[in-house]
Amino acid sequence: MSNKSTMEFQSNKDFFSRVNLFVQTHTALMAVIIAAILFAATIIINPRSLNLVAIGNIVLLTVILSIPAAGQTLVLIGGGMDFGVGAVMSATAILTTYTMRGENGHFLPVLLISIAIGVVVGFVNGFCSVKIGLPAMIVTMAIANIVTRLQYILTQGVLSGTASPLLASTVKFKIGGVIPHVAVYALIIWPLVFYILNKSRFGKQLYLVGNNPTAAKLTGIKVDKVRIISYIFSGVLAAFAGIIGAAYMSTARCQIFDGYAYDSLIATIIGGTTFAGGSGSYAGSIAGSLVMVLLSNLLTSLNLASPIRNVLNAVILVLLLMLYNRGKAVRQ
Amino acid sequence: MKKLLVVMLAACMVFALAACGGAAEGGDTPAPAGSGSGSGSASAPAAGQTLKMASHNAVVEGNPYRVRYELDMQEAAADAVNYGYNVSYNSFVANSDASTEQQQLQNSINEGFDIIVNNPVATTGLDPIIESAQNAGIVYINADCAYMSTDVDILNVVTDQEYLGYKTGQYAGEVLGNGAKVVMIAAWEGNQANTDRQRGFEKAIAEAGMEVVATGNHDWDTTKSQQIMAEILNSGVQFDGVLVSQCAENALEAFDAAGVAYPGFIGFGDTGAFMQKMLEVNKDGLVTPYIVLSNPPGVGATALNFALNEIAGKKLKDGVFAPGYEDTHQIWIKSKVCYTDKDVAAGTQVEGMSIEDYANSFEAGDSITFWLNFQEVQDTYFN
Repeated sequence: MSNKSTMEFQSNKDFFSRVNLFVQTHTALMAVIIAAILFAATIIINPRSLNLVAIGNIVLLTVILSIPAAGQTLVLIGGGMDFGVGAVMSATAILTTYTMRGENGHFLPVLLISIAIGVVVGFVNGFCSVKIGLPAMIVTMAIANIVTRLQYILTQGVLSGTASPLLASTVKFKIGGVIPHVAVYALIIWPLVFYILNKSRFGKQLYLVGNNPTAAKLTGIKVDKVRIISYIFSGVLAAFAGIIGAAYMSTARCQIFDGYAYDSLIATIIGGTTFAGGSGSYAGSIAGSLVMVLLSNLLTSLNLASPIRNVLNAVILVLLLMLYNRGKAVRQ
Repeated sequence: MKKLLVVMLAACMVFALAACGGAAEGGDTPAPAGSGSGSGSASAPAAGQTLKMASHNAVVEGNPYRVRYELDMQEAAADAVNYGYNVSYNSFVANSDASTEQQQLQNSINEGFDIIVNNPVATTGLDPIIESAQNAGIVYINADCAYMSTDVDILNVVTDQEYLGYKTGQYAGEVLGNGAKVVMIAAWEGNQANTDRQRGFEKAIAEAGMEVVATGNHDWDTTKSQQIMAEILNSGVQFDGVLVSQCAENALEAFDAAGVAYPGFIGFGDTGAFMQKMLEVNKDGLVTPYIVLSNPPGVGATALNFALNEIAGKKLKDGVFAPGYEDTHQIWIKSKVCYTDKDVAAGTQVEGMSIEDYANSFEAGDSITFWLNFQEVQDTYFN
């Protein structure tokens, strides 16, 4: 090999190394770039996709997905995993429609009971996986199963009631005819989660616990307590997302939002939070939620047959996940 | 303490898994609140023949239609007492897994059930099991989703799905006119009921000269119906009406969420939510024409009464099979309830009451249902 080609090879290698380094260190930004590419592709394929209705819908669906994704982010950063967010969402969505029955004025009891459900489920998930040491994936699935059984026992599987018009309007009403009201919820929840993760003592402890629990323990952090609290946060956020989801759907049936357990987990991982724990950001998870919504939007725009659409969706998600989630856990 | 907790959690998980698979182990599906009937009354002592019936279902959870299907089966089992049969009801759910279905069917054969009513996972693949059941003297009836194998001699009791699609498309064509652009949201690709229904839709679309400008599948999932409709709205495609294979109320919610005007037609729907929503939408004058059609979950209960008539030694009348489907012995139960916005305006009555009262008599998620009792099945289909 000549000196020139050796240099070219080295130069290409350096370029790919730099790209790889960029991808691995700017995961949230990468998710934004992927979202932009997906949106651009949608517009190129179908220029009519660039319209105010689409923007409003994308914002709405992204905000709804970003709420359970917030809980997933906290749990994953702490080194755990929560497959129960969908079941909690479904439970509180059913509670919302059954309690409200299309009438205004029941928001406070619904909110308080939902939060209580989120706290209890989150605590049980955390306690079982952290204190008893059972695998988080198994425990959260088993607890989700119990929550689902309770939905059927309480409702007999029959859908009943609707969300109140006032609650529905706080999600669907469009500010300026474009931005859905649900953005107001995002203005409360997003900064709150940013604060918890980046500014609070709990957030700093959570990163350390997820990164190196042994080191965290040696510095005096109550590792188990921090992890259990992350599960409780996840439960509460999922419970709140269920109320928002009920307002969006108007009606709710058993297991209606079970799919959000996987969607929110994938969104979080696409956003750069790793299974290894100790790294990731909520900004990434929001961007990951946007990627999920835009990908589904793109595939519908292509007007493909359902099986092909599902295969494409899975293939693209696997490719995206291959880009991330390859961080190695710190040796303890 | 830790060991105790582990034991308690293990017990808890076992409970959860047992609850999950409970139906698959022959547990009774809970009766609807206030339904006044159920397996309890079905198994009450009665003077007459005692029969064990197994209801096998591909899926129940998360599917309000299948939940109602099982509840109607329980009611029909209880009602059989009036015709001299003491029928016990047992439910088995395969959770869409063909091997689980086969295993459960084999268990039902081994346990000596008298009747098996199966709503199958797939349209083929059960021939040996069916033959085994029949050799054991079990009356095997396939219900709801047709079983398409021609190598076994069983009855297929299904709803006339083609009619549902055709009737909807036909009314859409009447309302929207020739050349109208429509969205077509189908149900579950590969499901026989969906295939039959789509054939009806396509026939009517062609006859009315309509153009399908966007498509999607909601897989009978309410969340997906709303999502697909929202994404079609996002795509900016221009259309006049929406043809949707049930879950219409959720497709309409997508218009609310997007803040855009309702379409020039939507249908069909069959739930309390859809009927009530459309009355509300059109209360001050016609905004969106629509059609309500029943795709009765009670088809399983009707199938049970076919089984009881066979046990009574009755023989089917000639010409009861659907034209073109004689080889698979398909009996298509016609939709009983069908009304449109025009019927509402004309003050037409449904089931002996005004459409408003009829619509408001349903819970939001409950589907229109009916089933033919033992005598009705005998009078209509047997000699």
